[in-house]
Amino acid sequence: MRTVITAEHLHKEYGSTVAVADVSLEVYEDEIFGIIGPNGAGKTTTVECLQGLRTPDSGRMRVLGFDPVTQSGELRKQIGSQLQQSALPDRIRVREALDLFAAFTTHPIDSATLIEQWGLAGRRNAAFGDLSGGQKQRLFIALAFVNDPQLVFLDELTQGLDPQARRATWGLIREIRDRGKTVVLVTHLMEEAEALCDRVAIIDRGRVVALDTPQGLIAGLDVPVTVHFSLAEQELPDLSAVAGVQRVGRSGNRVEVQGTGPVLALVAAELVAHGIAPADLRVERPTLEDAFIALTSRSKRE
Amino acid sequence: MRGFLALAWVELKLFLRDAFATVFALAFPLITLLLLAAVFGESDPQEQVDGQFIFRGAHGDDYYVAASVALAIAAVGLLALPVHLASYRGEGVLRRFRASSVPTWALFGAQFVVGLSVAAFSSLLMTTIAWVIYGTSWPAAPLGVAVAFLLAMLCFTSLGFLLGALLPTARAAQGIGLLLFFTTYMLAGTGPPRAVLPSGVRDISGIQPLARVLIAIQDPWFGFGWNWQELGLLACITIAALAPAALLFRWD
Ligand SMILES: Nc1ncnc2c1ncn2[C@@H]1O[C@H](COP(=O)(O)OP(=O)(O)OP(=O)(O)O)[C@@H](O)[C@H]1O
Ligand SMILES: [Mg+2]
Repeated sequence: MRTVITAEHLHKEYGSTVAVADVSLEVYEDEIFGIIGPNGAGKTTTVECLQGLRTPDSGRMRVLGFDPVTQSGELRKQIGSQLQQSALPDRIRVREALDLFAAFTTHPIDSATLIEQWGLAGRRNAAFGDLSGGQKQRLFIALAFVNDPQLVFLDELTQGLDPQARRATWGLIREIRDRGKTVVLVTHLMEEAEALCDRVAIIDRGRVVALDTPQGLIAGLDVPVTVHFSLAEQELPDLSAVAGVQRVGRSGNRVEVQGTGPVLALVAAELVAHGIAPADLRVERPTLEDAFIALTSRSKRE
Repeated sequence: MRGFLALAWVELKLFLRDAFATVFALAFPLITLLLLAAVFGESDPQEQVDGQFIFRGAHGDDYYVAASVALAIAAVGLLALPVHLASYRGEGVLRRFRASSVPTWALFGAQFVVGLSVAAFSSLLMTTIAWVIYGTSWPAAPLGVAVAFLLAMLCFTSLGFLLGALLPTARAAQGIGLLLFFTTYMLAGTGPPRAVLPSGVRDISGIQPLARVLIAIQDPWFGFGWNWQELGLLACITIAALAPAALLFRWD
């Protein structure tokens, strides 16, 4: 696995605000690398330093073999950027904007292709100022791909996108990864990070508090899974004897069984053995959101 | 180069789509020209104060045609350009440009092309209108006027970049730009001729770039020949403004 980004001990302050305290991370070729964290945690500052758009006060960086501080010009030609905050002139048209930025690259992707891909076909001649929030966002994502980059940074990828557009975007980002590109994605949507990212870094107050696959982060939590079902009149068999079960609760019809390991299968088998087959048996697993809340509030307490 | 041409073309289209900017760039110099040429059209070219020709030995209306060309250049450099750059910065357009590898020279170059096109169109329009209405004269040495015009544009575009680099917000650019524009309009000879200014003020007013532009354009226009000294001065101001502008320019 080739390393495309190395960051060691990045530190950046604005006056008395420490935006990034100490961030180190590595991103590998062909992966979708997620960065999540609370507001003001330093995510944007981190990725903008990596893109050579801001200069860290200290720390070492290497992106695609370039030093983002001294070689920002060369680096920016190789990467794609969708910034959390930026704009285009109000009166520029969608098509014009894509053609304009394509003219600054050596191997541009055709604007018609990008317009089609990012669902802007109906708005190709619309002025930027007349686009809806989600349409602007899609244009910005399209602009990030205009130079056919090896590595793209997407800061708040799906902000303002409706559920359909969001899912379509996820599909496209996966396709891009599968074509051998690397994606760095900052997001607030846990669902997005879980669905899309190969690895995720959680940044809190300017530090990386955890870095793993989404599954790894969730598993690392040691939070039990919960099995829910309802039971009309029947007697509840003794489930606390089932391997892995930690707690059984019942309120009215509703039963909740907490435990670890393959508890769903074992509980189901026990119920069936007693002639009970609840139609609404379901399991609730901890999500990335649980991991996120646990990890970021833990670092707040410390 | 391809990027620069594309940007210049887009910026030109954007300028034309912005009705307000278009009207202001064309209207102000035109209105002052129509007024002043009407008032001073009958004046005697030989009339003097303090031993100086009031209108540099030209007819009053011809004087103001050349002055309005200088004014159009100043309006682009002191008003339109700094406000445009500062609002691009405030809105985050410059952040987007930088992330998309737009080089500083292409940004500057594109603005120069737009400014040049607008000021040249406005100058041609004004000269034609004044010729139709007042029968004012066309440049005696057209090439000399064109060269002076080009250098004056370079000079004021550079000053505009410097202001755009130094002034943080569109508001500041608008305020400072208007102040500079109207002060220099009144003192550089584009409003009252410098000959009628109090003698102390007249001497100091000569250091203004617009005063140099006016002479550089008027001399070939009135048939006094190319003024190499003024052209050289304009080139020097251009370099003196452009270097710090490029150095201090901020994208966000
Ligand atoms: N240009 C700036 N000037 C001053 N302070 C800044 C600047 N940029 C960021 N900060 C501060 O640095 C901290 C980190 O900001 P950053 O934008 O990196 O956070 P973030 O994790 O991206 O937050 P969000 O999720 O809200 O986008 C914040 O406290 C912010 O106020
Ligand atoms: Mg951010």
